[in-house]
Amino acid sequence: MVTFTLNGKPYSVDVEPDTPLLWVLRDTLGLTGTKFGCGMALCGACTVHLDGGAVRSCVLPISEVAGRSVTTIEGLSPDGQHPLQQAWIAENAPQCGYCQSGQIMSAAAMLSHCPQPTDEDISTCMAGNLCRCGTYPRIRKAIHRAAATMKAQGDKP
Amino acid sequence: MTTLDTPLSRRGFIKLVALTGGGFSLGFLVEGCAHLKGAQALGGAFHPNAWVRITPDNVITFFLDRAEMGQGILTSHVQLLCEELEVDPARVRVEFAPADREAFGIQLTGGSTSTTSQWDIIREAGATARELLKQAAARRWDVAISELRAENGVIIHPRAGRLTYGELASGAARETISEVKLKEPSAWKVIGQPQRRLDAPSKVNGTAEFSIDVRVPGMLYAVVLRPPALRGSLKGFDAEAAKRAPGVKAVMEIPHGVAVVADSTWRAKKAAALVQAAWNDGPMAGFSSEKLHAAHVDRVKKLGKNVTTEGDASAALAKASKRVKGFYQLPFLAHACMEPMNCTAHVQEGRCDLWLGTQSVSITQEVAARITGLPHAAIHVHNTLMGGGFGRRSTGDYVAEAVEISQRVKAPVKVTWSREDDMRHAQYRPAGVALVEGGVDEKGMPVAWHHRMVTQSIATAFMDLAGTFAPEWVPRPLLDFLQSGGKRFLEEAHLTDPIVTEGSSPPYALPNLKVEAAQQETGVPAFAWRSVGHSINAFVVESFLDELAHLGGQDPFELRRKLLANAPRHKAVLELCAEKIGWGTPPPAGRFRGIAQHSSFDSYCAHAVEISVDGGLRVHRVVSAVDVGHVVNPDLVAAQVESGIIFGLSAALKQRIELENGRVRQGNFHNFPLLRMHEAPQIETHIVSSREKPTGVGEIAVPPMAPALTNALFVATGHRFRRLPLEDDLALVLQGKKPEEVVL
Repeated sequence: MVTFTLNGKPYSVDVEPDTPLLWVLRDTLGLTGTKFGCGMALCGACTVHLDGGAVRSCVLPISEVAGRSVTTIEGLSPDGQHPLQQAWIAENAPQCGYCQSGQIMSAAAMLSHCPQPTDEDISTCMAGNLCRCGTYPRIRKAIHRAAATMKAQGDKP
Repeated sequence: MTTLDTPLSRRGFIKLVALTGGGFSLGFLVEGCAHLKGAQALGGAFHPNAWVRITPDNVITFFLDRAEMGQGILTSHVQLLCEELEVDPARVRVEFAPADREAFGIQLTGGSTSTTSQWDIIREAGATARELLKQAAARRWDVAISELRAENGVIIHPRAGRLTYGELASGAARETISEVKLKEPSAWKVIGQPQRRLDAPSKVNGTAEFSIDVRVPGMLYAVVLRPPALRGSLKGFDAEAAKRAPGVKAVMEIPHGVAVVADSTWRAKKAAALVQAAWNDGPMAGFSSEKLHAAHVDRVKKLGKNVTTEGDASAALAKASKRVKGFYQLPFLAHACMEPMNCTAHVQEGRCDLWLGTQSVSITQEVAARITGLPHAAIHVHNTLMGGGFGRRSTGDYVAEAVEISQRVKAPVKVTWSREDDMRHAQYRPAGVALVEGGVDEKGMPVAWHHRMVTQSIATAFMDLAGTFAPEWVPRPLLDFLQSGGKRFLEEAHLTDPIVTEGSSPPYALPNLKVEAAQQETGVPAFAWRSVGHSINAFVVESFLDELAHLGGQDPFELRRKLLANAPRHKAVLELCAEKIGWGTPPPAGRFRGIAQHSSFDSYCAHAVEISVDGGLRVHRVVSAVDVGHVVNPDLVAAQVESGIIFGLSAALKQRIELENGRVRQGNFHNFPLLRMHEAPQIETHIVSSREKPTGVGEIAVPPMAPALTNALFVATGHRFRRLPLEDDLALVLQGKKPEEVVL
């Protein structure tokens, strides 16, 4: 039995300790927003936050997650209105959409330690997330848009 | 009004065959509009045709009979409906239509045909619904229809008042109509607008349901252990250890390997590693990319079958004042959709349910019918979103596995392919070569062009799917016979494959032109890959035109422009593209430009690229101009152009599928890379204003990308890159070394 916090709530799961977090989320807990893409941490489709940092859940055994806190796309914001989610919609960023949960989770982790990223920051922090539809230019714009929104919100008295 | 009752004539059938790049839909879909004759009342709902349903609670549902794989038709087809129905697109609920041949004909999303084929049909569906709602309101209020107007989901009369569509639904269901008139373009309010994607909210919060997300009560999870060689087979296996692993329900031989079924994906994967299997290499034993290359070199020297002949290319070549010859090489390519292939099936007595994201519910139905022996009507396909298609999801190999396993374990089963399965046991864009010789006269004008290409057929792959397109009463053995006969006919008769040769005949005014094609069958399964034959041929044609321009001392853009004097739509995108990148003005220091144009799927696309090569290649900017006829949603067009450019750049720079003793070398994204964020250029898309019928969008930006890039690289390095992917040769050239060349 492994106990951890998922999207702010405590969970216990009874699975083999080597089961990757990805499959616990998808098959055991039914949270399917996190995607399987490569199984080798090469594509980023399975990106979630572990204690606030971006990790690839396809290679993270559930035993490593015990006692820690996981956030998935479903828990990024209570109402789906995170500035990144709004910016993604405003920029018409998704195409097939399969990689976008992972893209948004990587972007959110970046913004938490780098709230006003330059183009170079975005290139570096987002290089681990593949998109076969080629939505990179729009993702870049959406990140800048979200950063501006968050700054404006933060600047408010 | 479009004709609603066109019979499928012989000419129509020929057109169908010629469009097997994916465009099966055109002639067939007219049946759907037969419902124009009368509305149907279903449980108080107003269901005037197969595409739209309005219920008394005022919910408007659109049934998308094509696949949404990222290209955006879930949004743009709703725009088509709403333009005539007079509703805000954001109010419409979208459901995927079931496989229903009577209502929708053959449902296959491919060949960039969705907007072209549905352009009239969906607008008519919307207009029909609107008029029936007006008739119902006129009857209710006892007023003339001419006094009514439809606006934002409401029928309005100046004195009688307003009724919502929901309030009118049950009345409208009893109305009939024989003809509707579509709006003039000047009256459009929704078509041509950059409506935001209707599927975006669900795709940014994790709620969008993709194929792999399907969950069915009592569902089991399966993975398949496959032979190391492509098309290999199972010799024998020992599953004792696997059967004892936790959660395992069954281990079984299926036609392509050993299926391991468990109560979770991970448990199935782990147990699969415990299976001891022995394999036969099968028909691809000994096959390698190197041997294929040698066969290509040998074959290209021999004459092929004629595709196009104008004048006398050989004589003109002999008299040309300067000549050049180029040997071009392109690899096999994988689709590499982000979502690996998967399908959930539940076979029961007299019924089969399938849940998956597929480009063709019709092909899916046929695949399941073949295995189960059930009639099409008993096979229920529940289509979902999908993590990319690009042609790959028009096939049924992964569907067949799910059906076979479910039939055996008598439970719903989801089969999930690994990334390695997806890359190593797929269908591929064929590898090909081309040898082109050309010459210019003393003024530098091209006078001769002789193009010989060797690839394998793609059309034969479509013949395997013949059952999908034949009426259901045709007996299976007859279909099988026709399929094998058809394949032999294509392979042996004096015909070239219309799919792999598409786009190989230049649009330029060339007085002496000869294009020949030879088929070199490999046994490697080939299939449509985004832009299909154009992905091969545009690289060759647009590179070689550039070669002739430089040979004749002409500006590559100016020469193209001269030779396109009688091809106005090609010329217009070329000129717009050149203007927008500032062709003719010097690029910024250290940067170099290249340009290319290509027409595919009845649309026109030109790219100009700006690169630098100091410290490695950087693609800074791609400026694109397209003419796609009437534009339904300009932002979706721009998004597809961006997508095609990045897809095309990934292939041009990095991607190849190679075989060694029948085994695919590549297996995951480390050796079949995609472009990443830091490598993606800045992209500008310009759309030519047009009042022509809408034409293809989703694939058109792929073909001209590679040649635009290599044309710029020629200016930057002096080396003509004729082999894709570029990465190895590029590394050598940038170190000042000369890549090995095939001299023919």
